[in-house]
Amino acid sequence: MSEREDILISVHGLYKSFKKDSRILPVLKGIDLRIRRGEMIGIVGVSGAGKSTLLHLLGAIDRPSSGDIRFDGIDIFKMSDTKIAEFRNKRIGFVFQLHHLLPEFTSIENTMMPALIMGRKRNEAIERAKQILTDVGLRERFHHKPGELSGGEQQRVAIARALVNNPDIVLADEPTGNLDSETGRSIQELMCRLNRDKKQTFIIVTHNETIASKMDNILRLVDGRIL
Amino acid sequence: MIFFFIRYIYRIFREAILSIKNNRGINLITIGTFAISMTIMGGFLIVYINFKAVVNKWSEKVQLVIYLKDNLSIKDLEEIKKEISSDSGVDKYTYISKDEALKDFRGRLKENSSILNGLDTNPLPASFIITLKDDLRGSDYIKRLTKRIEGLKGIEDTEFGEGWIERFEIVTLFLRFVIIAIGGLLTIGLIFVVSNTIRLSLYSRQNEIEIMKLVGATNWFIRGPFMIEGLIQGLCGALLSLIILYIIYRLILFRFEYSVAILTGFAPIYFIPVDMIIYMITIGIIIGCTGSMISVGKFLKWSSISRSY
Ligand SMILES: Nc1ncnc2c1ncn2[C@@H]1O[C@H](COP(=O)(O)OP(=O)(O)OP(=O)(O)O)[C@@H](O)[C@H]1O
Ligand SMILES: [Mg+2]
Repeated sequence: MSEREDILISVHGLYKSFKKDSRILPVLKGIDLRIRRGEMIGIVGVSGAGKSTLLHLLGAIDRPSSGDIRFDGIDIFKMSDTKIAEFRNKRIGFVFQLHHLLPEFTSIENTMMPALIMGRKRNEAIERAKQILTDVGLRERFHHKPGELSGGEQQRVAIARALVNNPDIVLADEPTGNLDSETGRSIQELMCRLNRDKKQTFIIVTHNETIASKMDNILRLVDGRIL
Repeated sequence: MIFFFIRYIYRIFREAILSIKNNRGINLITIGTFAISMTIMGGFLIVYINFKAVVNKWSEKVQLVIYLKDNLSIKDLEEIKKEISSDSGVDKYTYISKDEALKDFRGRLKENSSILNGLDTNPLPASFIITLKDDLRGSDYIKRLTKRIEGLKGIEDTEFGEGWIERFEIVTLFLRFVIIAIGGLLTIGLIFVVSNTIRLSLYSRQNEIEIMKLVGATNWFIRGPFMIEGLIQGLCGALLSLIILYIIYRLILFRFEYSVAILTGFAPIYFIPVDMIIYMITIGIIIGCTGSMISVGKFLKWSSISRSY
């Protein structure tokens, strides 16, 4: 494989500012970066540096003020709403810090949701969900609802859900932020293992320097740019 | 794909019903508001329909009477007859000679007819009695015809129930205007009520909506259950109002049968006809869907997922 083909995401001249009460607040001031398939990347920076903002742009949740993001060469901000939804569903897995699971649904149901949206048959989706939940060590928690799971277990369900459609990339925003350091480390190890075994690409926003040190590559966001 | 579609339909119905169950109170209020509004609407509709039926029935009896001068020449008489028979709006007409008129009058006086015995001349004029075709009984047409006939030679006088026809036409028009005005206002009000209810339901499921967006649900996928929720509210409201209207209708028939019958000239009292019922249900559904569309549209726009998880 040539190096060119290895590039999964290329970001070019990305600017993002927010308008608040007729004042313009620039957050990202020209980001250029390339992410290769199978890479494990950490984003660090002080609070308010724009880490979440960048992650949202990568997942096409928000739109940039200018610049573009190419995913396998395709400009994601030129897609229609329906295409973006499909893109998120098939190619991106999200893991966030809080409020990420539907409380009335069991681990299996939460995990299989993206697969159902993708149009998989129910039985197929259940099989797939069980397999991934087993991978993340939740074999004994299939039928628990989020309220019956620990914080670390909930985060594992969120990771399982992010992986269920076998996406090209998993975007995680402080996935260990509200966990104790021990649990946080085990989540981080889980992601490293998935990255190693399945060549799964990860972009992880973190405040935790020890987690960041385990990454292939660290992006430091300072004053809206990558150092 | 078809399979997925069926499952999708099943999902949105299940979620819509679940959401209605979860927000039972506000949903009942919405459906109640719907039912009351549509009952008011339907009430006016029933009054209108029956009023129109009565007016139609009465105006069947509307006749135009042309009194002729005495000593009319045969030629003038033929002229008048030709004018009347050639008019396309005339359904039928009869000629009543002076003698026939007197005989008729005697017949009506019955035992008192002896008072006419002292007369040496016949004071009654000859006349034409004209019945107009159904759809031309409006006063405009009658007025025009009368004017034309009055222009002929040998006409003594004309007569018809001009006054009350006009009055009833005005009332019919007024009723129609009231129905349109109230209908418009209620429609706007109901759209507002539904969109508010749906907004509550959206708020209570904001987290879920955001998660669904994150895992790649399309806007239509998210919209589906809320649209159905609005649809169910509209449908239930319309059906409920029809039931209420029918009960009121039967009650009036039952309790006030006689006085109502006098009012309507013993015409039957009608309920809303089937095609109007279908319209009412359709309108209810459309209002429900529109209300929820407005809310969800706004919600999906400003709720960028970004900041709330
Ligand atoms: N919708 C918005 N409207 C206005 N300002 C915003 C909006 N979203 C983010 N910001 C601002 O953009 C800046 C960057 O926000 P962002 O959430 O990306 O920071 P972060 O690096 O993720 O911080 P943290 O580590 O605390 O999560 C912040 O100063 C924030 O106030
Ligand atoms: Mg953040």
